[in-house]
Amino acid sequence: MKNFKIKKLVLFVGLTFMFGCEEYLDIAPEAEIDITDVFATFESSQGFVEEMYNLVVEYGTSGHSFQDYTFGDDTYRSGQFSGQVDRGQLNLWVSQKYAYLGKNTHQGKEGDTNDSQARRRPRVWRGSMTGIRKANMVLANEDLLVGLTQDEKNVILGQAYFFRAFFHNEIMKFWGRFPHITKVYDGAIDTPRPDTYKEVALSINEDYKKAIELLPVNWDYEEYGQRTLGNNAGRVTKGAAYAFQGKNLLFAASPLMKFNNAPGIDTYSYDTELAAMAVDAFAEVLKLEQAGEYSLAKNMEDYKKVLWETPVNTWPGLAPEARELIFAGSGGSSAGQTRAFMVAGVPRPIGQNLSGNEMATHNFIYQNFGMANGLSIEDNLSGEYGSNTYDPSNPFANRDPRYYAWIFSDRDPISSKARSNNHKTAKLYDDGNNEIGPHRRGRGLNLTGYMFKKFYPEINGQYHVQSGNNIASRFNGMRIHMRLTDVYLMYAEALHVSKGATTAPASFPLTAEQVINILRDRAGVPHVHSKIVADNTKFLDELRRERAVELSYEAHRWMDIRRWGVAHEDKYKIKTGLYFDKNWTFFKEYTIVERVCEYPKHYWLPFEPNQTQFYEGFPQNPGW
Amino acid sequence: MTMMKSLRTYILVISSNNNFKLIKLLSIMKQKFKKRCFVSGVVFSLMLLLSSFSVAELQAQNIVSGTVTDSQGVPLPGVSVVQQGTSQGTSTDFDGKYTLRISSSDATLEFTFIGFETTTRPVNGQATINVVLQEFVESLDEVILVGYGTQKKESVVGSISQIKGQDLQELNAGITNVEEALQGNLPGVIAINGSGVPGRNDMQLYIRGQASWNGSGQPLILVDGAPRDIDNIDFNDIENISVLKDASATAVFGVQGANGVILITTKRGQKGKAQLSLQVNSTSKFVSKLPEKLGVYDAIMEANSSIMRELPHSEESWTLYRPVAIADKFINPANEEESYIYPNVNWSDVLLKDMALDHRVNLSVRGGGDNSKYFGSLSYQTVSDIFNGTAYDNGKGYESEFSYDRFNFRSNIDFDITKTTEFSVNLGGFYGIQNTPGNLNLVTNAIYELAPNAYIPVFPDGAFGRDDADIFANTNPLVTLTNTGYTTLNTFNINTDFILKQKLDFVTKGLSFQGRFSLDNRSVSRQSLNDPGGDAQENVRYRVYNGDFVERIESPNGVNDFDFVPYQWTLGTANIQDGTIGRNLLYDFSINYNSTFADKHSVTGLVLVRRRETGTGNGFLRYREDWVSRVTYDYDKRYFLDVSGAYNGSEKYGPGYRFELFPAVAAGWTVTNESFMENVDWLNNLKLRGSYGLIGDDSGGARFEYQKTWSIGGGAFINNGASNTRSPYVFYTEANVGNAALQWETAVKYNFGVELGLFDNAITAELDFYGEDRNDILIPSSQRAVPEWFGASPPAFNRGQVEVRGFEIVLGANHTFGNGLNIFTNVNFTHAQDLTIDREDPELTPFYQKRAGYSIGQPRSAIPGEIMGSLDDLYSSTPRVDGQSFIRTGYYNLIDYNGDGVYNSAFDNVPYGFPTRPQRTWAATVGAKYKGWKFSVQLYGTQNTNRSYSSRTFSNQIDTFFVHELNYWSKDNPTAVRTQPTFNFGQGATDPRSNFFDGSLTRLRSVALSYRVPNKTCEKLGVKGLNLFANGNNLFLWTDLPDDREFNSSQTQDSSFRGDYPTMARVNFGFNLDF
Repeated sequence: MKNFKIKKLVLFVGLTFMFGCEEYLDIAPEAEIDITDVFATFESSQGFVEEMYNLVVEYGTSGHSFQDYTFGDDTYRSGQFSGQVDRGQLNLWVSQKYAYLGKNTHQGKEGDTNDSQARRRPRVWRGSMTGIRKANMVLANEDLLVGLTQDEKNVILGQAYFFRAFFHNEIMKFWGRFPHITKVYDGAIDTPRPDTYKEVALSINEDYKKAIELLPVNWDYEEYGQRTLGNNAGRVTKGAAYAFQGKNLLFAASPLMKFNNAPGIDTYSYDTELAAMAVDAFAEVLKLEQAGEYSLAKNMEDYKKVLWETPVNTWPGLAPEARELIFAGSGGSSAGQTRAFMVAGVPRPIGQNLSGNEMATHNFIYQNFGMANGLSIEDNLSGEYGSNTYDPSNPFANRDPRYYAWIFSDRDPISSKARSNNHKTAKLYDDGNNEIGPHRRGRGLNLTGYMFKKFYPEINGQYHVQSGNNIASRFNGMRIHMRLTDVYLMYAEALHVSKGATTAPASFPLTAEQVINILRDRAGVPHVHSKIVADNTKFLDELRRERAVELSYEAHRWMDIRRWGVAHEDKYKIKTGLYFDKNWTFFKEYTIVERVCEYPKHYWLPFEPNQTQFYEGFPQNPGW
Repeated sequence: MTMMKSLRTYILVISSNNNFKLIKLLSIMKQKFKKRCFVSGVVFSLMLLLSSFSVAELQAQNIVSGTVTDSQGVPLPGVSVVQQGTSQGTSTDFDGKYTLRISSSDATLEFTFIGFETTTRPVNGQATINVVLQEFVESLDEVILVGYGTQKKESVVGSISQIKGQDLQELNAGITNVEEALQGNLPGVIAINGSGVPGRNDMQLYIRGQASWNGSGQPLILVDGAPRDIDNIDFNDIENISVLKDASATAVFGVQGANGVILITTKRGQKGKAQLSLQVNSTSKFVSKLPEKLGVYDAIMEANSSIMRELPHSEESWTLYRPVAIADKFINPANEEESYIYPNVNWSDVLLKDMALDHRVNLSVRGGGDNSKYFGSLSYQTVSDIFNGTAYDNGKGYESEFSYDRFNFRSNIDFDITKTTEFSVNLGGFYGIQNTPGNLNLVTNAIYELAPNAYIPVFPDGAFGRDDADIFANTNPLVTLTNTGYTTLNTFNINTDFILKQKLDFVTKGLSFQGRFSLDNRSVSRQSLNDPGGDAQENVRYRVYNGDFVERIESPNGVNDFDFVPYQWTLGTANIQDGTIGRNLLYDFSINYNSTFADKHSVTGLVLVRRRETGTGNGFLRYREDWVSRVTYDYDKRYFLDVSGAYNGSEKYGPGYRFELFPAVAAGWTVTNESFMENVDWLNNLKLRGSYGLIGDDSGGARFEYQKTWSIGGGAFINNGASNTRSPYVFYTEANVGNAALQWETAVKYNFGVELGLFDNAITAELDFYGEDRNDILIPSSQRAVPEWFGASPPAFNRGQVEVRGFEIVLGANHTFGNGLNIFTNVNFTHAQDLTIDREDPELTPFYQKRAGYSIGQPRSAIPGEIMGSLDDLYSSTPRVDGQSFIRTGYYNLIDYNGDGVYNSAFDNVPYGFPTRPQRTWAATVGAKYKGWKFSVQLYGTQNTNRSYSSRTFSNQIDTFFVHELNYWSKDNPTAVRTQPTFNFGQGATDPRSNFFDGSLTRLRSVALSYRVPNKTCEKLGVKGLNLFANGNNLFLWTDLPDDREFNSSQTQDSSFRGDYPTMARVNFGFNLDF
């Protein structure tokens, strides 16, 4: 009886609770969105695609405030990833906090695509992985896009194809051959790593083809683009897809990829078939230029509008007379970061307290920035192409106009408004002993004797100085991911290696020689010497030198010297500075560092070791 | 009716007076107690609060009265006096006096009091009955807090340790944070401290180790039955702290108890006149231990020596070499100017006070009438800054320092609504004001990293020093401390409980019902004083000397160098941060049963249903639902059985996996209660007990992780015309991939214990062996062994396995000599070791790099070979995958563990050392009592623990050299194990374990002395009781650690090398006054 009573009571109390027992812990209903909601409308679908734009890593602003982004033979710094690359420690990319190649952001986080600072967004590895999945989700759910017009559906899919290919290319730039991932993973993964770079590149080429088919020439012309009218330059287009299609093919054609880690790499040996395909892709971009979509800056004054001369928070490369921007990352959203990027070539006391200091190396400038007569210093000195204009007792004289536009050398005026006398002119002398200019050798100062100023703003010849002429905040220097000059140069390279310097392809009436001369005309430099044009390898060298100068300090160099298979040669390994005294009585090159670089080990970043331990069939890069 | 009245009065008091007082007091608090006159205010408001209670008047009719005292004649308040067989009863007041109306003159009175033998007296017509109660020698009848109730100690079969709040306080008065006080005082509890930031809780607690990598391994902490923080409870409010460790003790908490449970009860009222107590103590504290630096001259000599060694690799280092004549100038400057150019600064002296003073005042009242009992307490505590920032006037009209002021209040009231109905209302909380200037890590950095010759901290003209290159790590700590504004966090926290107990004896004897409703609220408001300066320059004038000792002045742009006018600072508005608003709502209903049949069969039962809603900010509420039951049976106090279980639901799991039953069973046998043991007089207690149970844990993983979810929000920055704005398309993102089969982690826990009492409990021992096997441990998304080309955080799943094994020993001895001198000792030792069995390591990972097979948090390092003493050694050393060209003599060769011919950290690093969480902790207390005096000493120690700390010797080429780096290898010191720190060229200076410190330590945890002033003296003083006490904490420390931090707190950035707010040693004095 007693027991019965207890039971009854328990039962009663229990029953009152039974209601909604499971439901009590259900997910809050407002939190639920279904995949059909995601792809229900153009707006939501574009919202899903849109995040991929912020996954595009803008190298110049995605490291830290001390911008560390070049990694080639063009600059030197002892610390951060630059120093590690010089020491051959490519495996340290994983823990690298201050470069765009770190696995996590400088705060040790995975990165937030919504952050206004590019450095806090996912970096290349993570961003690309996320981007590939996102693109695959769009493509896998094409059937759900029923609420969209055909044009809208096309542009959604077109962007997805573009980004899938683009993010693969971003990975392949640094880690080499990588499986073309075309599905949304949901469980265990056993996708093998392909044997060659070429097969991936060709597979990815199909994505670019579809993207080209589906993407518009310009969003401003399309109905779905009206909502963002005038602000569409950041969106991917047919032109961007052609340009990256060509780049993908040219890279695959390059010696490093052609030799596929085999010994005996020859820097003049390309896969001509792939190169010819690349030419046709680039030709389509040039046709778009003819159609008025793009325009090459025609003189050095206009050229600034491609690099930095645009009001803060606007993008350069879009002025009608210098509309070189084809595709850019979204790094320019934080003025603080773009400013740090703009001043990265000059030491902190002049530029900005908390910026990096990428020191322009003597070896790079000496080997690439040639003379006003259009010859390299080497060719000048040889005397084979005319009289020598290079003066070893004044190496700063008679140089290529681009040298003066983009490099500070000793005694160059900086700004008469500088509060400190030290910063009115560049004081870069260092006799290697005790006579050291105020901008040279100390902590955070320059070791090489040159400071690059390609993105460094100036008004009427008065350059930025943080105290006295603080004007960096008024402009928006930006490293453009893909700009027309790059397309010209890649077109020329692909064309030259497939058809020679003076033959135009069927797709476009422009020869490789003509391309270089167009760029030289812009810079005010005489055309390429005919003897050089006549020599296939010599012309390729000259073409590469032209590329080095035109795209200097834009983070293309490291990729270039690797894909050309030359990074392990002394010429590219030894970074030097220039010793000279205050009175310029002598000039002496000295070695700052000899990079550790072996072929093929230091040509590719290794995968984080655990990534190759999940399953058989995904081998590590050689040497690691 | 009277009852209703008093209830209403109470509510009125709460809603008007109390609130009003509260607000007023808060406003006083805001003025930071400048005048410290609040004590009278506190007393006043307590009086107001309590004046509404009156002890019901009694009519003189068949009345018995008397005094109850202990064997030493000390009156005992709160003793329950009941006429047997009736419900007539009362309890003694604070003078031990009682008056009871009885129904017949031949009645028998029963006197019961916790810790004393129950005594009965026939009245036999007497009007006065004075009783002397006998204390239990060792209170076997001690009441132990268990989950959702209490049990007598003798019938407890689970593994539980308990300490009285008062005992804890005796050892730890002066410590603000209760968690810190737990260290060493409860066997099985591992408590480690990370920093001493005033007002911040930097403790980590583990009960019997850690069995999962999910969650933080921290135990569930309940205050008065509801999950609450304890770091801000006032010591005096604590009645008891109990730690539940094994499955049977924690099973009723189900999943939440998987890491153990700490129960705290606060004090409650006792019948009798209002007893007012005032407790005041002041604590002087000083820094416990910091790494020691060499003086400037010696440091420069070390730098030179290091430069000499690295010259072959780094020619340019030569420019950093300083001749003796220069080094000498730092200690013997020729004139004042030179003393600025060649500074010699002891940064600890500049920044730290020799000692700082903390104060605490607590006023409490305890009492009760016939139908209500109350405990009320108010306290104020101030924790001051050990940094000496306020000694430097910034001239801007504000002071910034680390500080914490806390005001605690509590009122626990029990009403007897009817003879069988009790209603309790608990109200407790605190208001805390925490001040924090600038970046803490930039201040501590000066102690840990800044060289003595970095610069002059502040010049006589008010200009601050700075290094030439403005290196972040060399930031002037005084500027950070005094000239970068500060942030004030005001935390207001209030906890309320409403508990209704109804006896259901009318249904069946021993049955009762309890309903409870708890509501907690917390909010933090933040106010900042902003003093940012301008042009990325602090708002001060710096005098900087460059490498050539040329002076220059730096200040923000736009003002004349020599006439620097600081920018005006601004005081932000106080905002309650949305994410800080926390509210917990909890309600439960339980049925209790407790009865004894035929004198020998005792049965208790519990059924409880509880729901909890927790909300933070504007997030979705978190829900929890638990069904709990427990049945205990004991036969003749010899055989015990305890079966309990919880049925838990978690929102983290989907349908079908959401609810799970977690049962536990425990049994005990008190051998000494058997008849065959009656004649064994040396052994008075022998109890064997064991438990076995299944517990769950859902601390891993995110909310609703089983679901595939999508999120909306964010935008891309691709507007070429306004690149700082987002495009109109809002991001849609796959937020969680989801795994519908996610389920509970389950733990099988077992415990076997022996309790011994010898020679009338003069010697006691308790020994517990325990184990835990945890299965289905969630492998969180971030730790899955899935290649990153998955492209998203892979879904979490259940797979991991961990086992924990360990034992605890508690030994006690207690002896009272004929003259009344009592000596006692207590030693406890805890060993807890965990082993990962499975953690989804990548399949192709070599075994020594898998996490399986090692402890959670197992550190790894390269295996050092010999220090390469010669070029021969160098040329025969292991080649390295990185930095081969830099290896050099004087540093370690590294072992190629996997034998592939090259050292590669990715494959050749192996497990080494211990996790930060110590495997062993012990504490030993020795003490004596004589008359009113009590003295005790407690030692505490940990073993099998490592901490990582990067010595910043010479970092950024500064002359910082730590004494613990001194004994390094050299030709003349070939047996040393450390290597010489490098000055300018760090490549190849391999010493894989230089950051590895043995974290073992022994500290003089506590020395406590107290004196109870004799009653007669008290009478003369006009007070009821006076207790004086003094104690010291952490006065000595023996350790190889460079500083006194048991882990690197993640709450302070870079604390593994820039240090943290120093931990303290304390000396405390105070008194406790009853009046």
